[in-house]
Amino acid sequence: MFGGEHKQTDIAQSAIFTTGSMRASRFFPAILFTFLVMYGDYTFDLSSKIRIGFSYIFSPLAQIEYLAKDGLKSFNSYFSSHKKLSEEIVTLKNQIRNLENQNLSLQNTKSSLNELEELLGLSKSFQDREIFLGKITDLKKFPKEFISVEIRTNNITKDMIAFNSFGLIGVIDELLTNSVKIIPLHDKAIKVPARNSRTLENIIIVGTGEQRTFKIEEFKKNGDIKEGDEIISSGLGDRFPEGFLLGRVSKVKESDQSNFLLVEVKNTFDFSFGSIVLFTKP
Amino acid sequence: MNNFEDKKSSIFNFYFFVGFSLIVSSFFEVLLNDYFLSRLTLPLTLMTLVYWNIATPRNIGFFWTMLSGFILDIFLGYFLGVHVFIFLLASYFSQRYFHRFRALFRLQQSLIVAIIVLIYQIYFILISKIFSLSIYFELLILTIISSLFWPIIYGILRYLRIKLTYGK
Repeated sequence: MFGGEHKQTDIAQSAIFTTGSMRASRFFPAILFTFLVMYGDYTFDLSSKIRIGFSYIFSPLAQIEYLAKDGLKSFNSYFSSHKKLSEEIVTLKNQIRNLENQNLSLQNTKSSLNELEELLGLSKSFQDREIFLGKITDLKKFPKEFISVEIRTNNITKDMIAFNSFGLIGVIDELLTNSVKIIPLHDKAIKVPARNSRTLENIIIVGTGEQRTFKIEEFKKNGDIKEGDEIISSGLGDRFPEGFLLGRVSKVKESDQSNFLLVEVKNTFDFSFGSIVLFTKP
Repeated sequence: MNNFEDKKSSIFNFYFFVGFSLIVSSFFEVLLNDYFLSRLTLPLTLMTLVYWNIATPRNIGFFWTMLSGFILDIFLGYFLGVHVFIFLLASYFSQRYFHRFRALFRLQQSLIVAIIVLIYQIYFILISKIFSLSIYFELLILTIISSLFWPIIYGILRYLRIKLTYGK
């Protein structure tokens, strides 16, 4: 409170007792000086000289307007060209993406053609048998491994077998209107009459349900078989064609509790490979 | 001396701020004159000078008064000293009667400023020796505009002065 009063008093004091700087003792000489300047200007034209001097000094300022205009112009031009460049970059990026897509599609086409070539090469061995092609649309691995193949013919029958570029891969499980379901040879439900290419002994291989794995049923302990033996289809029973490589013996195991050997065969084909499947009768 | 005194900015800064405001107002006056191409001008510098003479008569010096006068003389194309002379007179009388002027209401102050501006403009009409109906019209209009401008100039400069002096 006292501080505030003190402050107000202080302000009032400085307001009331202020004396101006324009005392007569200074004012009249200043007026005299001004008259002298006026006289000097009248006699020697001082103001014109000063104005000319100022016009020289401030001439760069007069250019500011033009400089600003030019600056704005170049600024606009920079950003318009920048915009054009950005747009061009975007266009080029799109072109690159399209080309990459085309390249990918060409690569797919190439691999499809290679696959077809191999399939057609394979079909030569079918002699006069009719062949049909289908396109793989779906692949499922669980709970049951199968592939769905789109077909455009009604001539496919359930007794036909499926090939891809590797060779014999499976059998038709289900025949639908425009598609078929194919299960692999290693499916548990499938038994394939086969032959050991080394000993020419007829055997039956059975799918294990595991990928690429078969077992040979009831192979006697005294039989001639060893790891690495090639197993080919025998064609017996007319369910599968003859002479197609099914796999190689990968394991031969003897058990005391059984009179038979436990023989495991690893197949050489890839059930899920490629995009085209060939169907034919055995 | 006390807190109040401590908060005051230095006289040196204040002195330069007064000069700066006078030069800025001269600049605007010249710009307005160029823009409207009128023979008379809106006397922003005179009003600024009157304000400083009334608000802080101790701090307004001869130097800035004369400098702003010379600036106007040069850029408005008058003889050197024409503005300086009238500014010195205006400063002298403002300082002579600043106590009375401060005590007036803003409206009364505006009327006094209008009279000062009227005398100022008549001085320039006499110097220019242009006596026509249009210039009397200009004189009337500019006097009215100036009196309307006074509260604005007063408010702005007062705000800046308080800001600079007490930092509030």
